[in-house]
Amino acid sequence: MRKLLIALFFLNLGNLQAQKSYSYKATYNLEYQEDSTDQSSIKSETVVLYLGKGHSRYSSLGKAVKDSLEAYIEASNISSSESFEILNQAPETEFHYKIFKNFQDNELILAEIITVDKWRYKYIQDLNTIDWKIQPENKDILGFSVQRATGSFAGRNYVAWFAPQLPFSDGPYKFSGLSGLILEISDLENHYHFSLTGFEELANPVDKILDLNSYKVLSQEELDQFRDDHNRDPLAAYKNVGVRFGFRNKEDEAKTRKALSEKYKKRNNPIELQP
Amino acid sequence: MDHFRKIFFFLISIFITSISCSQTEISGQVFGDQDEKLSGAMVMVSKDSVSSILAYGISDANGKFKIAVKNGSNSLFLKVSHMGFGTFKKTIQNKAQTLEVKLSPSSESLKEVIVKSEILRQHGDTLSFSIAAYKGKNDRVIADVLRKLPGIDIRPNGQIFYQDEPIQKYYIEGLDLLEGRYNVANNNLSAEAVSRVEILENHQPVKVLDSLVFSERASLNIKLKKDVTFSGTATAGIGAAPLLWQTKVTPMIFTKKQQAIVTYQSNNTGSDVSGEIRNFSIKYAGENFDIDNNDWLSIENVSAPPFSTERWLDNNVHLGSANILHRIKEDIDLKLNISYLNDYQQQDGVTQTRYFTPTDTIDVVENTNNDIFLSKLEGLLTLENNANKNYLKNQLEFNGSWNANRGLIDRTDTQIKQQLENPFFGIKNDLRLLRTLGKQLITFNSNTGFTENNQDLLVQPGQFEAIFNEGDPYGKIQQLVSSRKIYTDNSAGFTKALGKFTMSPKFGFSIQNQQLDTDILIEGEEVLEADFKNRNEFVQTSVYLKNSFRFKSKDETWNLRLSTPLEFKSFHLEDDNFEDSRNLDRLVFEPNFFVKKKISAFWEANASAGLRYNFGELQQLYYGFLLYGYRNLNRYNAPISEEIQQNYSGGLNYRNPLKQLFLNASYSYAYSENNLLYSSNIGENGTTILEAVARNNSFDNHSFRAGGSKYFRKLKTTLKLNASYNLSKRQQLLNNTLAEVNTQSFNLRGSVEAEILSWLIASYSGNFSTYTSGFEANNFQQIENQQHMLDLYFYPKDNQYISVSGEYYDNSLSEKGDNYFVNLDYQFTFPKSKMDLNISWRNVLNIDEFINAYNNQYYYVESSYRLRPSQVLATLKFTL
Repeated sequence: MRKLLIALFFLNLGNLQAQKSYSYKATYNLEYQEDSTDQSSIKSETVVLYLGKGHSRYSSLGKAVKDSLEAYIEASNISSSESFEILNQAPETEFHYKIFKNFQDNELILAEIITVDKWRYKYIQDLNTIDWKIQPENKDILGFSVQRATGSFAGRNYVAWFAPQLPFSDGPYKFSGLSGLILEISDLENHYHFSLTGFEELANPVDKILDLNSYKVLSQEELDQFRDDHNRDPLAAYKNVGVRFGFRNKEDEAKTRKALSEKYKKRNNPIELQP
Repeated sequence: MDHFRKIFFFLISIFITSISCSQTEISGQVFGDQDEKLSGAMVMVSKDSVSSILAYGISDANGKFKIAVKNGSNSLFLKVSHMGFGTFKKTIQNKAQTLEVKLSPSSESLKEVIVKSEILRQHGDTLSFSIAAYKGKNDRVIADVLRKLPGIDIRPNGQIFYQDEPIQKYYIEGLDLLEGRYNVANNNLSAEAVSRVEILENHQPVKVLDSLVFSERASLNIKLKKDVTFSGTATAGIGAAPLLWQTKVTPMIFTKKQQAIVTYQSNNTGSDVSGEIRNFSIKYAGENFDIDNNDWLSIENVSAPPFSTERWLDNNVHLGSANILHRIKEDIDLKLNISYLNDYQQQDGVTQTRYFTPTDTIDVVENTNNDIFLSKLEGLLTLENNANKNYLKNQLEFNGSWNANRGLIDRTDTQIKQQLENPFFGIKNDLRLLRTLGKQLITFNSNTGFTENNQDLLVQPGQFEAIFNEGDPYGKIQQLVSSRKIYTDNSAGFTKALGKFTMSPKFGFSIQNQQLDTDILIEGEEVLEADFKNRNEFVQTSVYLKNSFRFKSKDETWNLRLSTPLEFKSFHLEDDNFEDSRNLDRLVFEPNFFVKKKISAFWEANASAGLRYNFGELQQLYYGFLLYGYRNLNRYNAPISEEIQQNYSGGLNYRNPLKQLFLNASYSYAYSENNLLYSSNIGENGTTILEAVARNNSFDNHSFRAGGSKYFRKLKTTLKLNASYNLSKRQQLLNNTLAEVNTQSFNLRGSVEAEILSWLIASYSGNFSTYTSGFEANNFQQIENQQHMLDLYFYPKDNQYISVSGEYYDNSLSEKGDNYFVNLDYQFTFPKSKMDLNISWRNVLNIDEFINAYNNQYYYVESSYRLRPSQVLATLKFTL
């Protein structure tokens, strides 16, 4: 089953519309601390960066797999229960957005589907906003020689290690602008730590549909607010779009609310602390 | 705040700029071979071709770039790279200039790295280790790599532990081919063929129980690189002196529907291949009956050295084993495991034993020379249907062995010959059936078995003259034992989920009938006195209602289990010899409670408490004397023993896959009360008469354990440490005096495996232990044992290594307790073929005996064991 899904995943990358071709894939492990006050709330996830000529696509592995599964389901005649099962196979993820970087136009698009209403949102911003300082310090990551650089972004100070031998001025998340691919980057408190786990050339350069037209444009502030609203009170967010949950009694409802709000309280440490 | 910071950085940069040397501005434009403007090209400036980058720029939409360089040197090194083009490199002068750079296309690929990366990842209850990441140059088979994984420990006999608990199942691609006899795969499956090793925590092997009955144990799964794998190893070796041979052929094949491992092994080099078919299946409490062989009789052995058998085992062994799994249909597997072992071993040694009794000390010196003939056939046929709704497992197992021992003991005054024949046969069938019926799960178990053995010990000249021949010497004494056992245990029950609770009551009955006939012959004539015969029939019956409740909280952080087995047990011993019978009827309630809590992603705590009753077995229920060994005469002239045992334990586990750190600690306490005491009467020659006496007594034991392991990614090093401390107290009768025996033991062991340099791999393991025992307040001398082993592998070339290994053993009890060993190895791998030539020189220092000493609660033993001499062996190894 898994094999089939992975095969589908790759097959699907060859679909119509405005296609972008990616010939390399960098895989990173992201370790992040969900609750800034709790050392033991460290989680990890695999994230992937697809690299093409002048553009790239970044998302969590879970999101990438889910996207292509969804595209497959859309294109085929599959019952909703079956499709639910298929989608369940995708790795779980806490990050539901994807980031497209376009180096020609020096712009970045973050696109996200807020689960509740299936509304699609995106925001566009400038690409190279980090003023990197490079330092004469080198080390080795998975056989690549990397050089150290520091810079600050959205309220955190970062140390990045980039590989001049990989000619991509790119990196995970919104990070870019160094003279080589960023293989490792973490903020000084080590709340967000990306480290390369694999770099490979894709045997058949994969093409991905880039159809963001159906996404509604917001400002980053609005989208962040939206996501936050949803996380803080998913029940209300569902209610807003007309979905009601049947609870057996008030007690159950209160319990669920409490659990949700505790979960929200724990998720107090987003990667961007300030716009 | 942010503005302030920006201004601050700005000021700092101005400051730095103004104090540094002059600044050069280099600008230019990048073109492709068609003179098209290239955007996104990376222009890097460094001092020279090897030093790090000083400044860089990225070309804009018009291909233009501008770089400010602050450096005092005369020349600079310019590098321009762009995806799809060859890198442009040039040395330029350090002055302001405008450059035009033309790049020519290149299809050269970038260097790739495999997903070596995620060397340890976690997905729910599964930890997955990437073998490529941990595999060192000197690792050949999967066991070599498993040894290095943090959290995993392989004990000297080959058993695999995860977080200090033995693993439950050893799967290869999700299939349980070997049913616990996993050494044959672990020691022969090439590490090259394996992609990942998974630890499945809380693994429930029975699918239909998966969401109903949680499991406390972990299983291990080997993931192969290919869907169809043909692997295995073959070795052939020859050496001297005397003539040595060693051969081993282990082909194996794994496909989706079929798995097979076949092996033939033979050597006289001391390699103990019987370990390859050792069964590590876990038996669960409540499975009372089995077909294990009982050694009623024995010859006097020399205690074996505690290190690799290659130093001391004088053997001549042949082993054949075949393990075949065939997947008949989806979820239905048919398995056959069959093995035959034949070995001839020789043992040579001297044992000095000093017996301490509260009144006296007795010394015995024995020069021992034993010949051991082993012949063992084992077979297991399994049909398993592990489907989502139903489960069926039927196992038919048979064991047969035809072992014989010959022993010669030289004592200062006499020479004693012993001859033991020990043929054994056992067969059993275990059936387990689970079926979904509506919303319930119906369970049915039926286990039936039969064993038979006829043992025969001949001792020349006869011993225990005072008892058997009015104190006069005599020629020979022979002990005959014939025993038979038949049992059946059947139960039926159901499992039902009630919300987050699962209830599984079962009702059953069991019956076991055992017969024991023993006779002693003096000079070939049967001793007719009732005291030296046994004609026993022992019947154990039980009717039981066993229930267990399980609870699993919704977020799976709490796991609770409460078992409440209620059992009516009845024991009946019919002694035809003494025309006597003994009965015992008991209603026993043996509750058991277990709780586990996931405290956080990394921490987990567990606790358990339980009550158990143990009743006498036939091994402690014969009233006529039995000559167990040439100087041991046993009888149990007492009622059926009853023991009540309380157990408590608590533990804490930490596992952090991100940091590759695993820790565990536990404490357990056991207290038991028994109605029987065993009394040893030790005579002048060290002859021991063991008898059981009805007298209430107790035993208590505290045990502390802690362990940890960590893998240091950058150093490619695994560090493992384990410590344990044990404190116990029991009462014992020695020469009719009641004494309280205290024992304390402490053990610390650790190991480090490190790839220090690309040409040097080192591994160290050490073990330190102390043991103290004593009567009442008087302690005997404390024994300290130390073992240190260091292996160094030097790689002058990638395909060759020289290894030096040193071993040190020390025993503080004996003056001659220091033992050193040095071994040398050279291995050459033929390029382009998977063949290794290995030349090993073992026991370079030619140490000929190993001195070991230990003291027990009531004796002190110092033994010397004759070791294998210095030997050289050349071996060719192939990976199939």
